[in-house]
Amino acid sequence: MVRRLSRVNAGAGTVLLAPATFWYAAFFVVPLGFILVFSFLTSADYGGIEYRFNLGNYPQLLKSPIYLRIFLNTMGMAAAGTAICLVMGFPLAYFLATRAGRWKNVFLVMLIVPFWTSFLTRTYAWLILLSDNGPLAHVLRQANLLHGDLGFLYTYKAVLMGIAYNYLPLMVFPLYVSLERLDKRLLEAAKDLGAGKLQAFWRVTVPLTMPGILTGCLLVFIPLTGEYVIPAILGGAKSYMIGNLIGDEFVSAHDWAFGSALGMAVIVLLLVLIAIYMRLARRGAAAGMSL
Amino acid sequence: MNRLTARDFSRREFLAFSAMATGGLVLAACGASSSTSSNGSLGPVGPIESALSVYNWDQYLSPDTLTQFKAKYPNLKVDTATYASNEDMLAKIEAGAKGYDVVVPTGYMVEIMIQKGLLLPLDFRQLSNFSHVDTIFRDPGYDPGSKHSMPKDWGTTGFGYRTDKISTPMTTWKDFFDRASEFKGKVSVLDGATETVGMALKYHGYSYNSDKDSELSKARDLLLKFKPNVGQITSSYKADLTNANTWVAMGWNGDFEALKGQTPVPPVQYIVPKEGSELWVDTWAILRGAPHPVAAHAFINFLLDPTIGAQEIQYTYYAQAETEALATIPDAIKSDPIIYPPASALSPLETRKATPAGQKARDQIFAEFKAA
Repeated sequence: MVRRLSRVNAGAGTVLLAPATFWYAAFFVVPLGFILVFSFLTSADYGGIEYRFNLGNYPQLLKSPIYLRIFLNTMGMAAAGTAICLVMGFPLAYFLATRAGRWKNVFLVMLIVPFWTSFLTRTYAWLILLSDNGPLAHVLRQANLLHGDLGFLYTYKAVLMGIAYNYLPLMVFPLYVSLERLDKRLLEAAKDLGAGKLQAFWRVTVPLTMPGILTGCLLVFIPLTGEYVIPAILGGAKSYMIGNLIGDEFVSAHDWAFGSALGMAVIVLLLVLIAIYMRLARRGAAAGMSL
Repeated sequence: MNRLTARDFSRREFLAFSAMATGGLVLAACGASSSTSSNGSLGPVGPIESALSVYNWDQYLSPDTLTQFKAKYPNLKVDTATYASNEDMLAKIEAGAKGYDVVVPTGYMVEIMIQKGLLLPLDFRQLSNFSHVDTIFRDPGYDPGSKHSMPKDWGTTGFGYRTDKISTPMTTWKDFFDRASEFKGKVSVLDGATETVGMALKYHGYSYNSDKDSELSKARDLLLKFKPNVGQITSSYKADLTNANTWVAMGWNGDFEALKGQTPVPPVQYIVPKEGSELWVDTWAILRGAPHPVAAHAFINFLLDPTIGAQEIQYTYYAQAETEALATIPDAIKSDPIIYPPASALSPLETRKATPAGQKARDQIFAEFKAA
C-alpha cells in the first residue's frame, strides 16, 4: 500500500517537474554548455566562432589589469548597492511589520506599484530627473541650494541611486516577512530579563530575522553583479560593469570566445562567493540557536 | 556601365562631385539601370509580400516617407527596428537574428558583410530609380558594381560643441583631446571602435585606416589619457547636447544640423577637424535570407526617388547621393556648408577601409578604453 502510494507520487512528481525541467534544460543548461564550449574555442574575424581549440581566453583575463579592475568594481558596486538597500530597507520593513497598523496593506501595495511600469522606463525617468537642467536641479536652484551644475548624471552616484530605487523592494519583502513572523513575546521576555531596547534589537530581533536579511541580501547582490541596464543608462562612461563588458565583447568587439570566458569566470566567482556566504550563514544560524 | 565611375570612391573624385553638387549643377543621369547588373539568370519577379522589416539607425528615416510608402503599398505591414552602430547590427545578424529584410550598413561594413555572404545580390529590374543615382556613387570601392548596396546618403564625422559653454573656438582634434579638462565629464565619443580609435589616429596625423602597431598603440595611449574626462560613450548625443548635459560630442554632421530644426535652436557648432576625419556613405542593402525580398526592393526603389530623397534630407540633414534631389531641397540646406561641404573641407577626409587585423586591434583598444 505504502509502496504503491509512493509510486503514484513519484509519477505525479515527474509530471509536475517536467515543464520546468524541460525549460531549464533547453533554455539554461544548453546555452550554458555553449558558453562553456565557446570559451575554449577561437573567435572568428568580425564575430562568430571558429571550431579551433584555444586555451588562451582565460589567461587573457589576467593579461591586462583592466579586466580584474572591472571585476572588483562590479563586486564593490554590488556590495555597496546591497548595503544601501539593507540600511534603507530594514527600517522600512520594521515600520511595515510593527507600526503601519491598518495602513499596512496600502504601504505594501505602494511598494509594488512601481513594478507595474517597465524597469527600463523607470530608469529613463531617472535620467530626466538627474539631468543637469532637470526637475531636481531646478528645485535645488530655486531653493538656492545649488549653483552651477547638479553633476549627478553619468556618474557612479547616479548608478547607486538607480540601484537603490530599483532593488529596494527585493530587500524589503523578505525582511518584512521575517519581521512579521517574529514572536513579539520574545522581545517582552528580553525586556523582562533586563535588556534595553537596543540590546533586545541586536540580540533578539536581528538574529531571529537573519534568514530574511540573508535572503534579501542574496536577492539584491546576485542580480546586481550582472546589472547591465542601470550603469548603461545612468552611469555614462564612468561605470562599466562586468555585464556591460560581456555585452560589448559579443556585440561590439566581436570576440565571442573571450566574452564566453568572462561569462564563465563570473559564474565561478559567484558560486565561490555564495558557498562562502552559505557557510557563514549556517554557522551564524547555529550560533543564534545556541544563544 | 559608365567607365568614369569611382572604382574606389576616391577623395579626388568626391571633390569633383561635391563641387558640382554645391554649384547646383545637375548631373545627367547616365547609364541604363539594367545594364549594371548581371542578373540575367534570375527568375521572374514574384508578387510583393505582405510584410517588410527595416533594421535601421535611430531617427534615420523620415516618418513622412514611411507614411507615403505605406500609402503606396496599403497591404504591406512595415516593421522598423533600430541599432546604434555597424558592429551592433553585424553582431545581431551573425548571432542569427531572423526576420529583417533591409539594413543600413556604412560602406566599409558593406564590404565585410559581402565577404561574410550576408547580403543578397540586388535585382536591378526592381530598382528602376537607380538611374537617378549620381555616377560617383555607382560602382564604389566597397561594393564593386553596386551589386549589393544602394547609396542612402553621405556625410562627415567630426564633433560639435556648445558655443555658450565653450568660448574659445575649437577647430582640431587637438582641441578635442587636449582641452578635455575644460569640459570634464561633458564630452561624449561615438560608441564605435572605428570612429573613436580612428579619431585618435587622426590626432597624431596618422591615417584613419592605419593598422600599424606603433601608431595604434599611440592612439590607445591618447584615449586612455583622455578617458577620465569622458562623460558618455554613445551614438545618441542629440538630446544631451540640447539639454547641455553634454557640451562636446563626437558625431556625424547631419545630427548637429538637425538640431537647427528645434525650437529654441541649441547653440551648437559642428566642425570637421583640421587634421582630417572620416567621409562615409551609408547604404541600403538586403539581407541574404530576407523573408520579403520583393517588398525590400520596392522599399529601396521608393527611397531612391529624388523627391523622396529631398524629403529625407529635411529630416536627417544628410546629403543625398542624387544631384537631382537638389532641385526640390530648400536653399538653406543646399547651401549649408556642413551638409554639402566645400572641396577644401573634404580634402583631408578618408573613407574607412576594413582589414580583419586592423578591426581586431581597434576592437581591443576600444574595449580597454571603455573599461578604463
